[in-house]
Amino acid sequence: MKAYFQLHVKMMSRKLLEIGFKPAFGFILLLVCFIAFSWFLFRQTNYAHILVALAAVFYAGKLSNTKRNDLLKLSFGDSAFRQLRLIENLVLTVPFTVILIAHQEFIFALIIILINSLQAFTNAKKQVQPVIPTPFGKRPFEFPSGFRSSIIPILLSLTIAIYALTINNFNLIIFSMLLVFAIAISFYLKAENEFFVWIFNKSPLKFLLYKILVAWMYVSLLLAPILILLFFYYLNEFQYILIFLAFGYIYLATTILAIYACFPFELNVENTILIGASIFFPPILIITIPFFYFGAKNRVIHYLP
Amino acid sequence: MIQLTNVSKKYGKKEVLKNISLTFSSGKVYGIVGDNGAGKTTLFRCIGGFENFDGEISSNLIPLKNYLGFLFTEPHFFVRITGKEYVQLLCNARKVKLEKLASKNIFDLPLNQYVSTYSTGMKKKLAIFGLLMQENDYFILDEPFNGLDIQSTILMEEIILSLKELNKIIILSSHVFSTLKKTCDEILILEQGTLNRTVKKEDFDALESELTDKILEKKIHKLGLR
Repeated sequence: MKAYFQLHVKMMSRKLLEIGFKPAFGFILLLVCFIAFSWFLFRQTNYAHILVALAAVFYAGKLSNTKRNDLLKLSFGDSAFRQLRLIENLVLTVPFTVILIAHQEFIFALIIILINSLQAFTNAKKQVQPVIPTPFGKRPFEFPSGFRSSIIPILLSLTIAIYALTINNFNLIIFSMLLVFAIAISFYLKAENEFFVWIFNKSPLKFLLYKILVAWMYVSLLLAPILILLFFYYLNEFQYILIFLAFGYIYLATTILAIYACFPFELNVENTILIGASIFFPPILIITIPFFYFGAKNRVIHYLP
Repeated sequence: MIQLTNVSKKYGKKEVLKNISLTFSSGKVYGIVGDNGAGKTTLFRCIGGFENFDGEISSNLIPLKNYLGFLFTEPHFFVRITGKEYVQLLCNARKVKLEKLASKNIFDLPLNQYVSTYSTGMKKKLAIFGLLMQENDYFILDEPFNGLDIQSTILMEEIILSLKELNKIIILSSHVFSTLKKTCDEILILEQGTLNRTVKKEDFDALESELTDKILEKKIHKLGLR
């Protein structure tokens, strides 16, 4: 079992080396980013503890993949497998728990420990895969795929918006709107196979524009119910709505450009830090957007000469 | 026509392709044969424009990649995407209008189901179907018969011959000699990155015997089977 965890550390170290960091430095940087992001989240919203708890449960859930579990069970045997999965889930839960305890959210800290311990003994088996209909089928793939994978967070954000309306909380509706943008951004975080860029009959500029316009169009569809509520009930606040909306669209486009600036590899740490810095200090978008655009253009030109 | 002139490719210090010069003509099917690691996939990737290389690759339709249907040995798919959406994506990318998809579904694929529920063979068929719907002029098919059942293999052979009749260029690799014999006009032998020779249709039987003898002579006896 020790060898299994050592192997995981080795795999993570390799990943960090691939993106240009010495493992020790990379691990520290990840920790610092995690703390900084959590701090930022708790400063920005009163619901940060819920988001942190949801993230902890979500990431632990990803480890309950059937194929993965089957392989581990086959390799380690039943009893060692259960121990291993429990340790795995608890290790993953530690940073989230520490953050929640630091903010005196003891009940939430306890809840995630309990849920993730239980998750260690579950199998995320998908016996049937009913196809979830989407309005995005005309232009696959990020939105149909992302929408189906993130249906629960999307429904959650809509529920938050409706709840916010019932308690007349404008800020909370804005939060739900930004949550939809964050979900849409997550659809793009994994770089596609080079084939799916190569197949396009477009110049790099047209390709990047196409990607951004489709993202804007489809995120608008996702946002439509929330926007209707906002403009119907809070029309007098329309200038704030437009500002947040504009930021959402800009960050969505920025992330897409940042991802293609690393293509065909995954989003690297440098670009992630730049995106993070742009969220903390939006004026630097004036530099980051052109920087990402030229980076993306240089990357995709290889596939779209 | 696709023309390769002195195409070479190195990965670090390792030379994977060495001065390959070739012409692929319209209305012909070309088979590329070679051991694993001989450079077949690299050659395909260079023609497709996935790799940088030394030398020159030209074609009568420019840019070549916009007219090329490229089948990977293991095609890639996205999670929670249906077969229909996959084909739609491929057609959108080439600005081809997708019409009467259901009636064209000769592989009987469950197009409204997630691709992740497909078997290996069905995924291969979907990838091939997508390329056919794109209405390409050139085709590179890396191991198109891998994972296909007998009926689909026969269908695939017929599809290749139909494409040939439509004056397309088809370049394929296969480890199943019988399928190459049936479909190809020429077989090109690639050995350690070098184009060893070109074999015409009338010499396919001799080539098959030669390859069989080579394997039996040099390899099987090493196992010491008793």
